[in-house]
Amino acid sequence: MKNIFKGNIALTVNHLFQVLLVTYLVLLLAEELWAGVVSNYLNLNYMLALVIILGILDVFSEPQIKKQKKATKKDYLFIIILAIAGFLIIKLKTSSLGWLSWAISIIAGVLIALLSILVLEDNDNEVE
Amino acid sequence: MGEMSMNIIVKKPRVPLLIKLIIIAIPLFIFGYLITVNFIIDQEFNYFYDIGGEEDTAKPYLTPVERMSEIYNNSSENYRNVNYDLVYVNPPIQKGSEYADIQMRVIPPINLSFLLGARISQEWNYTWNELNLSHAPSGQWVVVGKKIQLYETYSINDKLSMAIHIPKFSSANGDKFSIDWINITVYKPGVFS
Repeated sequence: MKNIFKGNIALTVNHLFQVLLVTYLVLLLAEELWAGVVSNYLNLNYMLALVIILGILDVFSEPQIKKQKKATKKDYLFIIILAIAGFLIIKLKTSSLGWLSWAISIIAGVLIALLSILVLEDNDNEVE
Repeated sequence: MGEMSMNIIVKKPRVPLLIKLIIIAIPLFIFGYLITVNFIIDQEFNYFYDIGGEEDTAKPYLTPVERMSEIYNNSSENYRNVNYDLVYVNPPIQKGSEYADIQMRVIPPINLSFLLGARISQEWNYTWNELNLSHAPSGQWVVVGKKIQLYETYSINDKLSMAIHIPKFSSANGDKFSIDWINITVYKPGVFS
């Protein structure tokens, strides 16, 4: 596959794609949690189109060689934060279901934690 | 002969600092803008419901549909008549909104009081505001309005159920109530108001 962008430009496209993707996902989450907080002022579809275009350009850019790092305490702490955030979001969205809401959110939180640890430790094995 | 050492410097591609700053500024600008418009500055949202218009034809604004007539067209306006009492419209209401200014162009019913209600609880419970129709010439189009406080109201999916209530209304007895448009302006104060 021929690379359209190389060197600094490829890196810039990759960086821009990552930043806009995370921004889009955070805005989407905010809109899900508090309806209208974003959509009253911004059309997220335009942003999605931009993210998709940048994603395609990133695929056709020179890939970055990344060094695999060993998992640290920080990574595990991040996983715990993500699991708690996932638990809270799902609890908030399903609060009308009563006790079932607790069950769904706890299972979801545990799943997030376990899958993240699995991916992290899989990467560790590759480093060794 | 002495040993010669040679350092080979491999330049790793890096995003220039200025471009990095510009990229980081994009989400900061978006989040800053959203925080400003949602919490800091005063906002007014305007919703215009053209009863009998193009969008109302596709999906009627006033529900239940069975309580409204078909669309009537004459040279200057498209409108619908209310056939049965209690019809509803559901404007979006942003959290923290203070009041809604409601204007309606109607042919009001003769000798009947006309109330606008806003839902205040999960059960069917509304606060009622009577519209003053004493100045309205009978059988003619008039614009009537009312400001409704929104602090105590109950929204479902950020939409407030507003009811149009004409007690003792009966189209079978010859009562007539026509609606041409409804204009709702929602005022949301900022933190410094």
